[in-house]
Amino acid sequence: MRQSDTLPEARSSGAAVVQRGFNWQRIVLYIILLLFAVYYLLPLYVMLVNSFKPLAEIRGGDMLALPGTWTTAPWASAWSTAQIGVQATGLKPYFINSILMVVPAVLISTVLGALNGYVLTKWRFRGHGVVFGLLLLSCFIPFQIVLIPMARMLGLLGLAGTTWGLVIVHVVYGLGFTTLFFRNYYEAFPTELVRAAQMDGAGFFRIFFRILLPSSGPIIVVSVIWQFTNIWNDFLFGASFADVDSVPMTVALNNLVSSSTGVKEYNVHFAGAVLAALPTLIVYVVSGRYFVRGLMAGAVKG
Amino acid sequence: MNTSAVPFLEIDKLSKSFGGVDALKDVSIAVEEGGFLVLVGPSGCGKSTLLNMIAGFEPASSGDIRIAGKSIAGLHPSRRNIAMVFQSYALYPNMTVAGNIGFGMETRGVPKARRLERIAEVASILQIEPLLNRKPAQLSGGQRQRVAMGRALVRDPLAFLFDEPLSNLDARLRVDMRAEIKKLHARLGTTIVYVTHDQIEAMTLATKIAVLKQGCLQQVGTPDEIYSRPANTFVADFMGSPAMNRLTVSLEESAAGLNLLFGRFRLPLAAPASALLDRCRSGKAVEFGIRSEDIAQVENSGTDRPSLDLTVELIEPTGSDTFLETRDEAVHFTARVANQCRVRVGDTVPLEFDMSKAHFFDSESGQRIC
Amino acid sequence: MKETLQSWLPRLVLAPSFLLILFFVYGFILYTGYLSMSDSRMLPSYGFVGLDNYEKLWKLRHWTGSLKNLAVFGTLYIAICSVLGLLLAIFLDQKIRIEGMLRPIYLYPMALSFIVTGTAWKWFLDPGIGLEQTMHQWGWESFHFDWIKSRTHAIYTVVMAAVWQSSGFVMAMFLAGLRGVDPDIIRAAEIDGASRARIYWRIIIPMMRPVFLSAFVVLAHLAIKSYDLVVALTGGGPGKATELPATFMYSYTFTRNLMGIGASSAIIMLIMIFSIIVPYLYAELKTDRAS
Repeated sequence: MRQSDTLPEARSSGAAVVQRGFNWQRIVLYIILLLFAVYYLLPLYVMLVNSFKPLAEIRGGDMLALPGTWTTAPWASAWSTAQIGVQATGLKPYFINSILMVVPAVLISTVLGALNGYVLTKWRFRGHGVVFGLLLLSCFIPFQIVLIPMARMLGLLGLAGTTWGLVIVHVVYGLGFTTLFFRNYYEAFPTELVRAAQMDGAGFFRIFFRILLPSSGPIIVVSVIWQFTNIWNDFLFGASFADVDSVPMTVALNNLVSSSTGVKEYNVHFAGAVLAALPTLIVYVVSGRYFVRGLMAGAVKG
Repeated sequence: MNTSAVPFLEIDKLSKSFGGVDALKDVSIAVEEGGFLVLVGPSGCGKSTLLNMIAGFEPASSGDIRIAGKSIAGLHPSRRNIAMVFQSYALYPNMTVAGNIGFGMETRGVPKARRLERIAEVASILQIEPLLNRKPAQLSGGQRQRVAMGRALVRDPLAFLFDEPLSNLDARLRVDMRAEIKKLHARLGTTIVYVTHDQIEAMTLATKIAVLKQGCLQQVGTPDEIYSRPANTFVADFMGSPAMNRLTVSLEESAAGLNLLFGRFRLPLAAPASALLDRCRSGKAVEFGIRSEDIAQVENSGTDRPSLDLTVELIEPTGSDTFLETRDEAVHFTARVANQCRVRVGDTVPLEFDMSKAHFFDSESGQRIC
Repeated sequence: MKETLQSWLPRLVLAPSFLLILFFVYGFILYTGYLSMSDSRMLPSYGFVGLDNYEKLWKLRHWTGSLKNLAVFGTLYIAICSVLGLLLAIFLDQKIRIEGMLRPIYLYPMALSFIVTGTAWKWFLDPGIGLEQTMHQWGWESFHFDWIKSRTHAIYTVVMAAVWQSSGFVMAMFLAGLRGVDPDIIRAAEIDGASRARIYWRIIIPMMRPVFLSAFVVLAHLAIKSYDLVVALTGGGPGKATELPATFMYSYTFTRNLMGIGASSAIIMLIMIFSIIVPYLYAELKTDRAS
C-alpha cells in the first residue's frame, strides 16, 4: 500500500453505488454502524463508570449503570496508595518510570530513524537494499528470541534493571520501524531537490537539516506517536528487564490487577487501567490521523 | 560540420553502463562557448543520463568531460561551476524565493549584503521581484520556472544545464517560456545544454542539436543540418512533424538521370548524385524520403518538377496549412498544401515533387546516401 | 580529504544503527539458536546437546497444547478480524455522514496497551461480576456466560478481546483500499447493470486482494507474538487452556529454569513468523523496485 496517510472522505468507492435519499436500508446501515460503535466503546465506558463507584456498588451488579454515589477515592488510591507488589505506593512512581523511559527512547530512535531513512534514500551505496531489508525484518521478530541474550547483555553493560537499559532495548527494537517511516517518506521526496542543493554546494548534513528536515514534520509526528504508543504499551520488555525502580506503568498495572492478596478492589483496578491508557489515548485523540498513518506504514510497507 | 570556434564544452567518448546495460555508448559532442546544445531523443535514449553526467550526479564508465579545456570528471557537482534547472524545478519548499536563489551563496559563505544584491539583480532580470518573499507552493508553474532559472542564473556559471524544463507547463506557457529562454540566452551568452524530447523545442532553441537513440549518438549538427540532411532514417523520422514520407524504391537509369520506381509510379530524378548512381548500377533498392512541404499542388504546369496523380484519402486542415494524405495501395504520401485548396476526399490531384530536396538512405543500414 | 570524508559520511551515519541491529537482533538470534542446542537451564551454559531440546520440546504436552491454542486463536482472530474489518469498511464507505466520528471510535482500541484491554475484558467476562451478573441484575436469570473459566472455551475469550482490539485497524486498512478503487470502474459496472451486492462481490472485494494479504501478514505475526493479552486476561489458564508459544517460552525460560527448551521454543516462533514475513517483504520490496 502506498503512503496513503489519511482516508480521504471525499472519494467513497461506494458513493457511486449508493442511491441517495432516505430509505430503510440506510437506516439499518446506520443502526449497524452505531451498534459497533457501542461495542468498541463499551469496555472503556465500563472501566470509566466503575472507577467512580464504591466497591460495594460494583459487587452489587449492574456494570452499565452510572454510579449511585460518585467517588474519586479509587483514583486517588490507584495513583498514590494502592498496593503494587510489596509496596503501597500507587501507580505514580511507575508512571514517572514510564515517562523517563519513553521520552529518551522515542527521541533517540526517531533521530536515528530519520538519518537512516535519509541515507537509505538519498545516499545509496552498494548493499543499501540488504541493510534496509535487515532493518525491516527486525521489526517483525518475536521478541522472545532476544530475551535471554538481552538480559545477559544488560547485565554485562551494568544496565540490568535500569531505565537506561530499557531505553536501549526500545531504541534498538524500534529502529526498524522509524527507519521504515522515514525511508518511505524520503523515498517520495524529490531527489532533484537534493541534487539542486548539492549543486549549491551543500554537504550531507546541511542538505539534511536545511532541505529535508524542514519538510519532515508529518513523518516526525508519525514516528514519535508510533514509538510513544509502542513503548508506553510495552509489557514484555518491562516485565523481563525492569527492576524495582524502573518498572513501567503496564507492568505495575498488571501487578496491581493480578495481585492475589486481599480484597480485589475492582474500582481501583479500573482507575489504574484508565491511568495507564490515558497518555496513549490522549495522543490518539489529539493526533489520530498520524496514528493511523503510522499503523498503515508500519503494517504494510509504504 | 565542424564549426571553426574553439570547443568550450567537450564530451569525449563518454560511456555509461548500469549493471551491464549500456545507457550511453561512446558519445562525443563539442560545443563552442555561448552555444546552445540541445540533446534530443525519445525517452530512454540516454539524454538525461548524459546531462546528469555533465552535472556530476552520475560517474562515467569511461570517457571525459571538459569545460574550457579542463576535465571536470570526478569533480563534485558544486565544484563544476555549472548550474542546473531541473524538470520538477526542485525548489526548496521550506524556503522563500529569495532563500532558494540565495542558498548556494549561503553555503559558500557569501556575505548577506552581497547575497541580497545578487538576488535583486537576478530577480530584476527575470522580473520576479514581487515574488521574492513567497514560498514555492504559492507560485504558479511559470513563476516556479522563473525562480528555478533564477537559482541557476545567480551562480553566474560557465554553463547552464536544463533538464526538460518546460515539460510541466501547459502548451501556451511552454511557448512563452521557450521564447524567454531563448532571449535570456541571447542576452547572457552563456553556454547551455538542454534536454528535451520535443523536437520543436530543439529546433527553435538550439544552435546545435545532438540526436540520441538507445545511448548512441545519431547526429550532431545545426538545426538546419539536422532537418535538411538527416544522417539516417531515425533522425529523419524523429525530427519534423509530420514525419518525413519514406518508401523503398528501386532505381533505373534513364537518359536524364534516374527513375525511382515504386508501386505503379515512376518518378524521374535529374542529375543524381554519384553515390546513388552506384547503387543503381549495383541493382540495390534504396529508401527514398521527402518531407511533406516538398510535395505541392501543381499550380501552373510551367515548372520542370515531376508530378504524380495521387488520390486523397484524408484532409487535415491545421489553420495555416492543410495536410493531404494520399494513398495508392502501398504508396502513401503526406503533402503540405496551401490552406485554401479545394480538394475533397477521393479526388485525384496532381502533386509535384521538389526532387532537389529528396533524401536517400540505405535501405538496410538506414544511413544517408545523399 | 574533505571529499572522501563526505563520501564516507552516509555510511558512517548509518553504521551505528546497522551495527546495533546486526548485534542485538541477528547476533542475538544466533546466540539464542546456540542456546537452543545447549544444556542451559537456569543460566546460559554452553554444553552442546544437539537437537535434544527440540525433541524434548515436542514431547511436552504443554508445548503442543500451546501450538494447538495458537492454531485456534490465530485462525479465528485472523478470520474474524478480516471479515469484520472488511464489512465495517464497506459499511463506512457508503457516504456515512458521521464517518468522521465513527472511524476513530472503531480504531481507538489499537492505541491501548494489551494489558489495559486484558484488564477490562477479564472483568467484563468474569461471570461473578461482569456481563453475566449484569444480565442477572436486568432480570435475565438464566443467562450463563463463563467461558473465561472454562478449560474448553477460555481460548475464545482471548479471541474476543483480541478481535476487539485489532478489528478497527483492519477496517482502516480495507477502507484505505476501498478508497483507492477507481470510481470509473464502479461506474462502468453500474452501466453494465450490475447490482450493488454484485459490484462488491465480483469487482471490489476481489480488488482488495493485496489488502487481505497485508492484513493476514500483520495479524498472523501479531497472533504469534501475542503475550501481553494472555497474561492480563487469563494468565494462560484456567490450567493451560490459553497458553500460547509466547507465554510458554517465557515461563520455561524464566520461571521453570529450562532455558534450553525456552530458547528452542523461541526459535520455532521465529521460524513461524519468518516463514510468513520473509516472502511477503521480499515480494513487496521487489515490486517497490520495479515501480
